[in-house]
Amino acid sequence: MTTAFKLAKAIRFLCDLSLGGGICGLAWYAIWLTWLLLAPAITGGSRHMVGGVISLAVGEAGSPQSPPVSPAIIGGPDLSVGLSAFLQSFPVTMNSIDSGLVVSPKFSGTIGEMIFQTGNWRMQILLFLGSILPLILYLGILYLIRQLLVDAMQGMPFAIDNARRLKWIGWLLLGIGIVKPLLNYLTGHWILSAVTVQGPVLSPWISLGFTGTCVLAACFSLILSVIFRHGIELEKERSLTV
Amino acid sequence: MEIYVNLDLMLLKRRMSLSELADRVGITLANLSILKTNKARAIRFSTLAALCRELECQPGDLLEYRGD
Repeated sequence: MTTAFKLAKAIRFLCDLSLGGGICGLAWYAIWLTWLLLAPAITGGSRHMVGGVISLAVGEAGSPQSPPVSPAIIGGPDLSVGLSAFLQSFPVTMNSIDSGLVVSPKFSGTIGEMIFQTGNWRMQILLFLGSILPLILYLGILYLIRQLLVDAMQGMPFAIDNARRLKWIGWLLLGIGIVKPLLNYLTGHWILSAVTVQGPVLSPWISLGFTGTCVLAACFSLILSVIFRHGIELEKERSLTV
Repeated sequence: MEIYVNLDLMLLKRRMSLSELADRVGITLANLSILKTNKARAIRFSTLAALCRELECQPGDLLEYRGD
């Protein structure tokens, strides 16, 4: 067995492992979400809280503010203040409008995190979508890579199916690069609309580094798909050359 | 396709089977079938030379150009 074959076999094994784990994760998410949504109706109790973290920037998107002077942190009846030490902190206070939403902001410089917990079922669905949709796209990419490896290991890399799979990988990567930050932005936007903020203006923060990386990888995959199609033509010529 | 391979005719003249010719020329029966059914896109000179040697003919006896 050549080194390349051994490597392909190892990667295929890792893909199988990840696919198995991912499918189990999806199933667990689905069961948990169903339980979260149905539990109040079944048990008659209050809705469970689901937590998350969103990135926020101080200032309007694209125009960060410089730090104001006096710190003031005021909790509210619905505000569970879990503040750890601010690092070069902005004084930001948040009062929750939605009684089912508990927030705790933590800022460093102009970018920060807000840890929150919510009992609002719509927000819970959005949170789960933010986790499940990218996971489904990742699993799709893993599956396509696995199938690619199977064909390559059988000595048939230049098949039309592989060109299609590379094209799909490209589009799925683009999807992840757009869907994940978009859902994060929507979640952040929704949370910010459910709180009052005393202090600087806050806006949801999206790191374009992740999107940029996905877009680059998607372009690479789409270009590779075109190259594979050319390879398929050459392979066809070769196989029909006597 | 515009170039036709008259392998059938030559095999008949030399009273040889396709598999025998494939063995003598050193290519697979599948490839020879591709040639015989005019599905081949290209033929190597080495293959053409081997065919002419075994069938005792010239390339022009094997290859025929037919316009549309």
